[in-house]
Amino acid sequence: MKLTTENVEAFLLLYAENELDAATRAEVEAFLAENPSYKELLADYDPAFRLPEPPAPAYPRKSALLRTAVIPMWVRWAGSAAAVLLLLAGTFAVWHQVGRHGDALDGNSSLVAVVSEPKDTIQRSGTGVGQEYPVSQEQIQTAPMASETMRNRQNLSARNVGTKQKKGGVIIKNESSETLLAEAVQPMEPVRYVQSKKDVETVEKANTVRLMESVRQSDAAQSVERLEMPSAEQMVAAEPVKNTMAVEHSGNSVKDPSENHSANIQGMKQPVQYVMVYSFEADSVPATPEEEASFGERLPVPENVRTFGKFAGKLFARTMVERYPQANEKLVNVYEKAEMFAKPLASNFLKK
Amino acid sequence: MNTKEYNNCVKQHSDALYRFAIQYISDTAAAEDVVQDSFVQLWQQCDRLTQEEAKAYLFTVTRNQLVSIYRHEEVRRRYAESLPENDRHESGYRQMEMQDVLRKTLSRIPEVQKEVLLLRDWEGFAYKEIAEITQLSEQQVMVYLFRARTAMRKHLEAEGYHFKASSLTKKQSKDEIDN
Repeated sequence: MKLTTENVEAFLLLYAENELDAATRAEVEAFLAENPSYKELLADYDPAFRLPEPPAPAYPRKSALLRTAVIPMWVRWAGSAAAVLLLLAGTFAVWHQVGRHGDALDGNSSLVAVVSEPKDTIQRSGTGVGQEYPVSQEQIQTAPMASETMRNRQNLSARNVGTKQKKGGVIIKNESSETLLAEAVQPMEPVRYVQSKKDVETVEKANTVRLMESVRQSDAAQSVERLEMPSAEQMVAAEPVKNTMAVEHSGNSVKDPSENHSANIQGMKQPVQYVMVYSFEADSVPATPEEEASFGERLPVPENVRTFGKFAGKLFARTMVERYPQANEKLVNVYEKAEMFAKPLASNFLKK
Repeated sequence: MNTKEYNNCVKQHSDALYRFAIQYISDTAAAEDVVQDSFVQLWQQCDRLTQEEAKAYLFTVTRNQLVSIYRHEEVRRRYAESLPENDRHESGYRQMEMQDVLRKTLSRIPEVQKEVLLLRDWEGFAYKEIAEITQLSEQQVMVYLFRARTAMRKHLEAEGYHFKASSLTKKQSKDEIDN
C-alpha cells in the first residue's frame, strides 16, 4: 500500500496506533515533514480514545431464538417402520418356527423373557430392565398377543426363533444363547414445554429412542481387540459410525467419551462398540422458555438419537425389504441409505 | 454448525447485535425484528457456516437490513424536520444519560463512519472483517475509523464530556465549580 494524500489517514491511524513496521513509520514521518498540515490531523487523533461502550441491552426475544432439538421426521418414520417390520418379523418367526418344529413354545426351559419396565420408557440401571429371566410356561400362556403391546415398543432379536408376548415385554427363545439385540421405542410428537404429567410421559416417549443392549458381557468380548472408540463429537460428525452404535444412557449426559464398551452381537464378527448417549428424562425437559435457554448447554441429543435411528430403523428396513421384495418402495430408499451401517449386520443376520 | 452451536451464537451475539441495531434505528421493536430476522437467516445457513463464522455473518445481514430500514427512516426524519418547530417533541437532552449522548453524537458522524467505529470499538472486529461486512476496502475502513474517532472525540468534548482511562466523564461547568 503506497502512501498518498488519498489514504494518508489510514497510515496515520496505523502510525498513531503503533501498528506500522519501522520502514513504514519512517515513510510516514517523511511524508509529514513534507506535508505539515497533516501533522495537525495526527494531533487531533487520540490513540487512547475508543468509543465508550455502554452495556449491551439484553435482547428481549432471546429465548424465542433458541432452537430446541427435535427428532427429525425420518427418525420418527424409521422408528415406525421398525415397529411395523418387526411385528412382521416376529409373526413370521413364530409362524416359521411353529411350522418347522410345531413345538417351539412347549415349555422348554431354554425360553427366556426380556422384561421391560412397565410404562417407563427410561431404562434405569439396577432395575433389571434388559436382563433375561427364565419364564414359566404358565406365564407364556397368559401373556397377551404381540399386537396388543408391540405398537410402541419392539424387542428386536438377531436370531429369535420363537416369540410370544408378555406384558411389558417380549419373550424370546433363542436357539443357542440368550440374546436380545435391541429395543426401540417409537418416537412420538415432542412437547415443547412440560405442562402436565401427561406431557412428561409424552416427552419421555418422544425423546427416548433407545437401543437396549442386553447382550451378555461374555469373557470373549473382553478378549477381542477393541475397535477404536470415536468421541461423541465424531459420532455426530460421521454418523453412522461403522461398527458403533448408540446406547441409551439413563444418566444425564455422556460423562466421559472414553467410557466405552464392547459387546458381542450375534451376526457380527467383531464386538460392537457402543457408547452411552444422553437421553431425555422427564426432569430435564424445559418447563419454561428460561429453562430452555439454558438447555443449549446439554449435549447434542438429537444427533446421538439420530445415530440410533439410522441404525435400528434402517437395519430392519433393509432386512425386511430383502426378505419381502413386495415391501413398500419407501423402505427401499431407507435401505439404500442404511447401507453403511446396517449392511454388515443385515447380511450376517440373513445368513443365519 | 449444529443446534447447540447455534444456540451458543444466540447467547453470545444477540445482545451485541441488538445494541448495534438500536444505534441505527430509533424504533426498538424494529431493531428486535432485525435481530430476529438475522438469526433466522443464520439458522437457515447453519449447514454451511461454522460457529466462528457466525458472528461476522450475523453482523453482515443485520447491517444490510439496517441500511435498508435507515433509508426509509431518513425519509421520515426529513419530513419531520420540515414540520413547524412546535410540532416536534422536545428531546430533553439535558437529562440524557451516556447512552443518549453517544446516540446523539454518533448521529452527527456519517453512517459509514459510525458503522466502522461500532464494529471496531464495540465488537472488536479486525479491519479485514469490517471490510467484508461493510463491503469496503481495508484501507477505506482505516480511513473512516480515523475520521470517526477524531470526530467523536471532538463531539463528545463539545457536549462537555472528556475521555480518560477508557471512560467517559462529564466535565463540570464553571458555574457548577463556583457553586
